[in-house]
Amino acid sequence: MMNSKVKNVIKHNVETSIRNKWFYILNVLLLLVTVVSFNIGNVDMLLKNKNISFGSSEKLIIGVDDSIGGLKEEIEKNITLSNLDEKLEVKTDTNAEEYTKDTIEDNFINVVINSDDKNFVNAKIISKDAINSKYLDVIETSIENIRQNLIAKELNIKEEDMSLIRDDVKVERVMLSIDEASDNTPLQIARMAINYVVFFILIMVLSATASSIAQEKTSKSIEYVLTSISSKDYLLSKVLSTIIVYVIQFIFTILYMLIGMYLNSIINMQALSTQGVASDTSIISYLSFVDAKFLLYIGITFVYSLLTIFILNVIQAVLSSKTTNITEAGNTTIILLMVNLILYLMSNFIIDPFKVPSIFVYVISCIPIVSMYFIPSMIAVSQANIIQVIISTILLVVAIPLVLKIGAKFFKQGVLNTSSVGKNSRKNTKKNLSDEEIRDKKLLKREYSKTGYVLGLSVILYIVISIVLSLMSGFISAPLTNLFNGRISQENITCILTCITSCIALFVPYLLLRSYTNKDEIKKDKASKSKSFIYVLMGIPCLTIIQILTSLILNGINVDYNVVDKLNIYNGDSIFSIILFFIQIAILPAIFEELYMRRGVVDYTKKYGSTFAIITSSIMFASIHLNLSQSIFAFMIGCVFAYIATKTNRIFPTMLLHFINNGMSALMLIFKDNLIIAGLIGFLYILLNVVGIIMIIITCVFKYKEKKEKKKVLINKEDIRENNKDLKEVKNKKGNILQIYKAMITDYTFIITVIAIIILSVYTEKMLNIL
Amino acid sequence: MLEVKNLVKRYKDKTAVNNVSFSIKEGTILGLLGRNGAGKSTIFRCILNIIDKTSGTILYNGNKIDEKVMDKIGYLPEEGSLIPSYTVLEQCKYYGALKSMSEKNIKEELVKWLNVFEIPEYIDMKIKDLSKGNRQKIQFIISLLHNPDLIILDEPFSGLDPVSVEFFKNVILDLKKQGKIIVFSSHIMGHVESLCEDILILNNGNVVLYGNLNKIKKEYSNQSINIKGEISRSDMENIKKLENVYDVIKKDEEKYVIKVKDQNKINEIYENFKTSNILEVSVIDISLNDIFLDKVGRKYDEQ
Repeated sequence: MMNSKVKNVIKHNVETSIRNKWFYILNVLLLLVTVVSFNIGNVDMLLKNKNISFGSSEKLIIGVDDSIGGLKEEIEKNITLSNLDEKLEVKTDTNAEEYTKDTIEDNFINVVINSDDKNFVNAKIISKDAINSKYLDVIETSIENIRQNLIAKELNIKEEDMSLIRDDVKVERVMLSIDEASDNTPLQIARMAINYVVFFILIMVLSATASSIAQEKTSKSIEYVLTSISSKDYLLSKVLSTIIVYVIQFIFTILYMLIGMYLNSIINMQALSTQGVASDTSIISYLSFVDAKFLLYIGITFVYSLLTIFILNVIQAVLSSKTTNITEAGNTTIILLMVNLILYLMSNFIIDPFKVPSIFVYVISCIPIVSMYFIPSMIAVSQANIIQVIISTILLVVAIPLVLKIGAKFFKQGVLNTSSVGKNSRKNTKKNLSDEEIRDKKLLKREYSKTGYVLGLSVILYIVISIVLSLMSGFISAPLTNLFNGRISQENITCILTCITSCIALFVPYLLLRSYTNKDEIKKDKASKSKSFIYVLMGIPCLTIIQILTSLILNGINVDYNVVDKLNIYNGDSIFSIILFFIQIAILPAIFEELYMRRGVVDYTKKYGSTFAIITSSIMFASIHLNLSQSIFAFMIGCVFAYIATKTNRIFPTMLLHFINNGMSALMLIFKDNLIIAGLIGFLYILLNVVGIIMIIITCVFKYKEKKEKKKVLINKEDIRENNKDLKEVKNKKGNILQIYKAMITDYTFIITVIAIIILSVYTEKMLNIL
Repeated sequence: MLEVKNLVKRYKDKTAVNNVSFSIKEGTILGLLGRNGAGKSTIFRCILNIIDKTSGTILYNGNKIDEKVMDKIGYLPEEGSLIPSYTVLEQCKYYGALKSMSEKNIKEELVKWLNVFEIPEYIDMKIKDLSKGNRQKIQFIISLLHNPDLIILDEPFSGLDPVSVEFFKNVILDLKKQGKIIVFSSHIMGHVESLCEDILILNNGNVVLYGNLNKIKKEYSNQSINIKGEISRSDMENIKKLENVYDVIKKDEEKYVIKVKDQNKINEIYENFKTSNILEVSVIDISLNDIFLDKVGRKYDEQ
């Protein structure tokens, strides 16, 4: 038995939402709209009788300039065939030359046909502006027929044979594992219509629940309510009452539709009886396609959507109990609707009437909420089986008390949250140290999440600017080529535009990061020039090792390493284009990527320690390449670059290293046919590597000795220095790296960026594989 | 009879109510006194089951408070609990329905109470058109609508003018005569002093003072004597030597307070005034504020 209080509350809620002026207004409007939409033909007629009309009521006049003969008759025949009698009229002997933009009338179409040796018929259709496709169809079919007749004459084909040729082939399609009945058009239409209705009701019910709970929460009346009724009962009554209200609304709407249909049939019957024709427009004719399967479908849909809407409504109630105002509650409705929309689209994509569904589809179709979209659709295409239906129904029914119970718990917590949170914070300020620490932690968290926001924003800026600018350059490259009269080829112009695009796209995020970087926090102690150069030399063998490693890894996971080269498709021939290519591949990335990543990101994140800066900048460096195979390589060399950048505090060494890395591969590509130069470059590279390795060994030995000596001689100084260092580290780090990343993930911009990067990377990967 | 034993409510990092015990009999009023955030509303919410207590027991007539008992409880929440778009009648119908009242009954009771508060014309007005004081009246009416036996009033006098406060007090005293159990909270001492028999003073979730108001006052006033006049040095020394006397404090020129253990032995002190020029001796009529000051160490009104 239902609790009497629940009954009372439901009664009250339903009453207040129905005895409400907006409910009346909505229903009057709905009645008007449905009745009019069912009788739109009659309304149109009514308006026409009074000489009011939408659009042009004039007849279209087709002027025929025919030098072959028979076009007028053909067009007239087709006009009668397509029931356009009253709207079209055909005239002959018009002259195409006499019409200009100003002299041609709105409702006039001039058709000119001439015989032609090659194509048999040359045709031209002249009109002032666009022609309705219905009329155009008629004209084009007629011209086509004339042409076919001409061909038939030429080849001595009889006219009866011609009609045989024109007939369509009848192909019977047999799919053995698919039920014959799956192609049930009325069912498909009904499916669409019902889904619209379900969505309509969902929007209504969810938003009603959201707003009423948000209202009770903001007005604090919830506190009183919960003193008299348990939160579970309250949740139940709230959810049930909104559903009841919209079931009532739904019944009303159907009533209005029936009224509309009835009116329509009455008017039509009157019109027909005056013409003495028996009427067949009774309601039964609307429902002629109803059969047992259709009824089953409707019934199942009704049951599933009722239960699912109930569950969704409970979830909505819980979600809106967590919000603090009506706007937020509305946002939660949008989220739920989005989820539903996705499920609906999924059901449309996955369920194919002509393919046997996989086990996976059967399994997910049993999950509550998902089942509302999947099971009826599968019934519509005769793919559902009885076990699946039973299991999903049981799951739905079991889910209801479960959702209600868990929901009630969260609901109670959420709905009373404003008061308890407010109290806590009020008390916290009074409390001593530990609370201050908590506040500090919160502040730190906020700062970390702001870091996430800034970094995410910079990447989004990069992506958006790249996309927008490359679209723009796509538009202007052709006009620019024309402007230069072909002195510069289109490939080169595109190349220049790409360079400009990448420069701007990398420079703007750099400026953004610069504006957020606290200039005082950047250490000014730059390494000496010679030391920096040594770092560059030592970097070269690292790059080589990384290249070898990457190719090993990519081979290991079976990714075609060549896709990297596909990105830099090089087919220049003139010296100018070679230079452009070199600038595009080697010089500009070295300057601008270094600016963005090492100057921008490393300096911005250095305040949390150099480890964090190195890892973060390398991840970002990998991610802005937006493709998976390159990003592994990019991450590793990013680490090396960032390490050097933090060690030297200079931008030039990493630029140089980046230039050497990119330049070498660019030169290899340019001189791939010239073995001597390619060999020379290779030799140079190996030489650089050898020098680098020697440098590394020397440095290691030197460092080792230095350390030993320092330990011996300068114990005191060392101590002081180390202490200072420790202090700085403590000040700078402020928390371990994982914590920072955790806090960064709470930022929405950051999340969106990550999602965007993943999607774009996968996309480019696919595109490259297609290439 | 409402009994609260060892009630504790802890939030994540803060104890809001710490080991609070009290009991109220039929026909008495208990005043909960404490500054903002002292834990008054939390105690009420625990009693009403709106929030879950951490530990302790709450018994109403020997039973735990559950949904059956809920209909016998009237509650006036501290913050506004009215829905602005409703009319007074609609609001009462909703809340009455929550207390299992019939619609007819609700309307009768509402009209009766509106007449008591002399605002019968408000029945069809929307809540949002009412003044703050009138809203408070409507809330008060709602908490009494279903004729509850236990009445919990959280800050009933906030937003009221002095005339309305008197009105409220009279209604509360009337209810007391009918044998209801009444608990109310306030941060204003005057209200508590003038209404309650029993009093419970809270500070940061701890009970500072609990008991019968008159008894407490008597105990406190027993313990000190005000003296106007000049006490000579020799008398002073003699008085200080008395077993009954804690201390003699010179408050001002010609003003002394003598703290004593037992008022019945006060004559001993009088006997010792030999060379002093005493103008007036009075037993202090102590106010709650003094008691609070004594217990917590700072004045109640200091925020």
